[in-house]
This record gives sequence, structure tokens and C-alpha cells, in this order.
Amino acid sequence: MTRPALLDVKDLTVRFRTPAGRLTAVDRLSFNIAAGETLAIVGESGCGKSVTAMALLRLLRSPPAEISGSHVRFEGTDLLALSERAMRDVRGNRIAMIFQDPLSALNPVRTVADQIIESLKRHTSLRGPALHRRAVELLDLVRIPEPHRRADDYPHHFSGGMRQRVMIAIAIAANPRLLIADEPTTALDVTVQAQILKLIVSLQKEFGMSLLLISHDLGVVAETADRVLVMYAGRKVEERPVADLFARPLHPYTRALMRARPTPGLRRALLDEIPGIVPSLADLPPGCAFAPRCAHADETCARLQPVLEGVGGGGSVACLHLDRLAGEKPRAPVLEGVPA
Amino acid sequence: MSAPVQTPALEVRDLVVSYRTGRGPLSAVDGVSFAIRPGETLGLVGESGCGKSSLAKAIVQLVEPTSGALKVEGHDITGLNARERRALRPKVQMVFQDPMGALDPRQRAGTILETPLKLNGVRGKAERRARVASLMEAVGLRPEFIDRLPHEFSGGQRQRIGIARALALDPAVIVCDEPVSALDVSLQAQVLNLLRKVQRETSVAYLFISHDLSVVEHIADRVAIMYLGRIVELAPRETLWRAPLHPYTRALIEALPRMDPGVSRIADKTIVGGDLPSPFAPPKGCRFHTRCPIAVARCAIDAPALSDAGDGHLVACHLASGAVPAPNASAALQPA
Repeated sequence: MTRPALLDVKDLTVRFRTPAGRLTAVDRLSFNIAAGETLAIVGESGCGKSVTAMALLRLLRSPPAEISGSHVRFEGTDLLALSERAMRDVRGNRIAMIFQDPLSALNPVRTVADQIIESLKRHTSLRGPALHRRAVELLDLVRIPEPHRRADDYPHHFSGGMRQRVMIAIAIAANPRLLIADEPTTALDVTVQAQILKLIVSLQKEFGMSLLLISHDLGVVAETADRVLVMYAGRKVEERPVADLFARPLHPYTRALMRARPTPGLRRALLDEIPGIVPSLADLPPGCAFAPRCAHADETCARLQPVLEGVGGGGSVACLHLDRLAGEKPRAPVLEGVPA
Repeated sequence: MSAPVQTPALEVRDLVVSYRTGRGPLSAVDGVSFAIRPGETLGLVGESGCGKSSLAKAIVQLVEPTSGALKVEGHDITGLNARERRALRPKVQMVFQDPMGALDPRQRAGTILETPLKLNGVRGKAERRARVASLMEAVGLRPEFIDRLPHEFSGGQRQRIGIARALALDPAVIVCDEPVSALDVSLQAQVLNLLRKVQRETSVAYLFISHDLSVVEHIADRVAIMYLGRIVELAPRETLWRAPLHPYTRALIEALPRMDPGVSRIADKTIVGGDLPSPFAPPKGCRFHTRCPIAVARCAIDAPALSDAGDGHLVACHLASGAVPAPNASAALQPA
């Protein structure tokens, strides 16, 4: 690591007490994010990626959630050890978050300017008319046309993409060091999704923020991230620099995910299915959680849980057959030629 | 060598669907024409408000078209009385985006699949049971699942039930409305493969509606792109992907996230600006001109007609070179 970590997470574990028993949603997860860097956490429903984001900000109600871990160090402070009052000064101020559904995250009966001003009042020293001026500036910064006119509109006056822009304006109002974006474009149309991603990435550069992007979409991750962390059933199975991961995925789950996705320009009669379904977190197999669906698994995989091993380039992979997989040529689908 | 002329499984001609709403009249579908032959998949791609759901509803007769013709295996289904319509209804089925919302939570899988058979005159109980069993087998559900309730299935399995139900009455066409959008990637692959297998075995035609061009590009034989109520481009899958002519199609392809960080990073992309205009007040002329990077003065005045650019490639753009207005537009709309 050349850059010092802004966020350093070590052995984060989140358990939930449920009627079905205690289940582990996030299992000893470690990662870090350097200043200005983008880390993407990718995985399917229930893999623990959103719970991880919520746990970092301590947004999970306890009970039923139980958060433990060695530390979640942010700017040198362990967030797990902070009082709730001290945590409130971190939340929305040093770390901001945007969600998939901006409509449910915005207050429907207050103007967007008011909601930005609320954040400015809480996290900056601005007061008086300067607050409204800054709110309009922020709306302009997130490329909302005619921000003067739109500032006093209510959320329902905006389209889905414009609402997400408003959410981003609120999030960056306090000039946070880390932005957590949980599926920020999933509910949006294709062209609007690309606009919002591009906006987030350009604001990140402008403000020098770090970005933690949570996504199910490998395409979005490939377009945006510096490093990628792949989760399955609450555990990290692979973490690699983005170029390495997509050029040469190592974990069988990562490979299977990539091959299951339709890829324009690649002609395949059938997609490679991943057989079966994600195991219940309340009833994980004793060994590798992916073993029951894995084409490479043998009886050892069913018994032994693999540990993460370094693979060079700062990457790591948790697979008992890593040596064999790393040695073989990636079975990439044959390119038909992609249009420029 | 000329193939015998085949009756299209579905033919849609000059279809208009308008609604009267509190905010004034809304033309959700504004003169759409296409045909799908048996065993073919037509992909329909568009963003919110483009009219793709209204088009789907009109085809499965959940809304009444304002004007235009809808023919299923050559029979016009518009303007029929209730009885005639009921006789043709089994020919057009639908698979929905949210399988949980489309299945009665209190009905067991067997009942869900048996109901359409019962309603359409399959009288013998044994015959119905046998048909249910073969439907379940066709979509890869184990026979013992017959007594399960929808919540006892995974999302992918529920969508299999939705597909089995759509197949129950040997339809000519299945309208698939975002059938994999609510599913995780690993389950998407299972359902897409299943749809393809079913089509090979039954020669059913699909109208496959999606906002996701990469899914459509995988499954469709031809692809239609819709923008604010109109088809702006229609072409064989490969042509559309390799040589798109309409600026909106190009914008969609450019915006598509790719799994290739070496060549495709969002920071380096040129993304079409602006929001989708309100369908209540669509722009005059070409409806895309307000966002189009190459629009000229004429585009704001004249609406371009869907014209033939050769080899079954239709495009509605004044600036698409090579496209000539088809003297007989209906001929161009026949499947190749």
C-alpha cells in the first residue's frame, strides 16, 4: 500500500438474531480504502454487501444486529468504539451515504433546498442567506438544470435521476472524505444510470473523496472501481485490482458470475448457469460456502473453509484449489469482435 | 430460393394506445408496427415512459388499443366481442417481471398451473394432472414441488412457474415483460436458458421486453428500440449491435456498462445528456432531438418516418444515411 488507508476494516462480523436462529450476515470481513480510491463490493442478494455498508455507519439496530470485529478504523479512529453522539459527527459529515431509492430517502414534504440546508447547518459553519446560496451551488454542482428555480421544488417534482442528484448534493454538502454508494443507479434507466455514475466519479475526483461502491452489477463495477471485493454468503472470496479481476478472475464464483452474465458482442447459445441457489445464511455448509454449486469442488471443499491467500498485485483469493486455478488458462468465451 | 410465406405469430400494425388522465391525454404507444414469426424472439428495448409496458398490455388485451390492428396467427383480435376474444386469448400469454406478485400466494403450484386448463375446457382431471406434470418437467421443476406455495420457492423457481403457466395453453406468443430484471445474475442465466429451450421445443414466439440491452442482445433474433411511444430502430440482433443507425440506439449502447475495465471506464465515456422528456408533452418533430448529439434544425420540425436501410434494418432518423422511405412500409415490416 503506497497510500495510507482512510478506512481500515479488520474482521468485521455482523450477526442477526432471528426466529430461525443466529445467522452471520458478514463473517470476519477485512478491507481498506485509501484516500481518493474506489473500492467496489460486488455480490448477489444476501451476500452481505449492504449490511457491511450499514454496519460501517452503525446504522443497524441492535438487537437484532450484533456487530463485532477487531476494528473499523476511519481517519485513525475506531468507529466501533465511538459513542453514539460521536458517531453522529462522523455520519453525514466525514462519511456520507447514498441509497438505491432516493424517493424514500428524501423527505416528501420539504423542499430540496431545505434538505440540503439541514445538512449544511449540521455539518458546516454556514448560516443565514449563505445557506440557501450554497444549496443552489450544490444543485448546480450535481448538474441540475436551472438550480435557482428548482431549489424550492419538492422531491416529487423531480425525475428519479434528478432525485438521485439531489441525494448526492446532500451527501457532498459536508465535504465528506468517504462516500458510500449502495446500488446508487440500480433503479434508474440505462442512460440516466450512466449519467449518475459519471457524476459520482467526477465529483469524487473534484472533492478528493474515497468511494465505497456497493453493487450487484459487474459491468458497473468494471466501469468505476479501482479495486473489487467479491462477496459470497457473507464472506470475501476474492479481492483484486479491477484490471486483474476482469482479465483473470481466480475464484470459481467470480468466474461463474462473469460467465452467467450476457455479454454483448459475445455470441453464446446458452449462458453458463450457476446451478442451485445461494445457501441460507442460517444453514451454511461447514466448508466453503460456494462448494455445493462449484464445478471445481471436491470433498475437501465441503469440509474445510478456505482462508484468503495473497495472489500478487495486492489481491487475495479464498479457494482451496487456488494453485490449480491460478495455473490454468482462463476459460474466456471466444470474442466475436466487439464494435468500437 | 424463397421460403413459403409464413403467417406471423403476432402482427402489430399502426397500434396506438392513449389514455385520458388527470394531466391530459397521453399517447403511450403512438403508431407502432412489427411482426414476429413463429419461433422468433423480438426484443423490445426502451427506458421508462417509452410505452413498452402499454404495448405489452395492449397485446395481451389488458388495455384496449385506441386504434390499429393486432393479429394473432392471422386473426385480428381488436374489435371482437367478449366470446370471440375469449377463444383467442389463450394464444397470447404473458410472463411478468415480479413472479411473486404474479402468483396467488395461497395457491399451490399445481393449482396455479391447472387453473388455465380448467378455464379453457380441459375437462378430464387426469388429463389436467398429466399436463401439469409435463409443464413442470418442461421448466425444470421437480414433481414433488406440485404442492408447494409460491413463498416456498426461490425467485428463479417462481419465474419457472410463471413460464409454465404461460405455456399451459400452447400459446402462439408469449410477451415476456422484464422477466429476469428482478433476479440475481446466476438466476437470470437459468431463466434465460430455460426460455430458449422452451422456444426450441414449442416454436412459441416471444416479444421480450427489457430495459437491458445486454440481456436482449443475448436472447433476441431481432431488436426494436422504442423511445417515447415510437419505434426508432428495428434490426436483426447482430446488425443492431454492430451497426446501429439511430443516435438513441448508439447512446444506449455507449451507456451500457461493460465488463472490460481496460477499454471501458465511465470517466472516459460520452454519455447522452438530459432526462427523458415527459410523455405528456413529447417534443415535436423527432422525439429524441432534445437530447440528440447530431440533431439539425429539421429534426425539431419533421418527425422522421421509420425507413428501410436495407436487409430488414429500419430506422427513423433524418440523418441516418442509406435509409430510404419504404414505398410499401408494410412489406418491410414482415419478418425476414
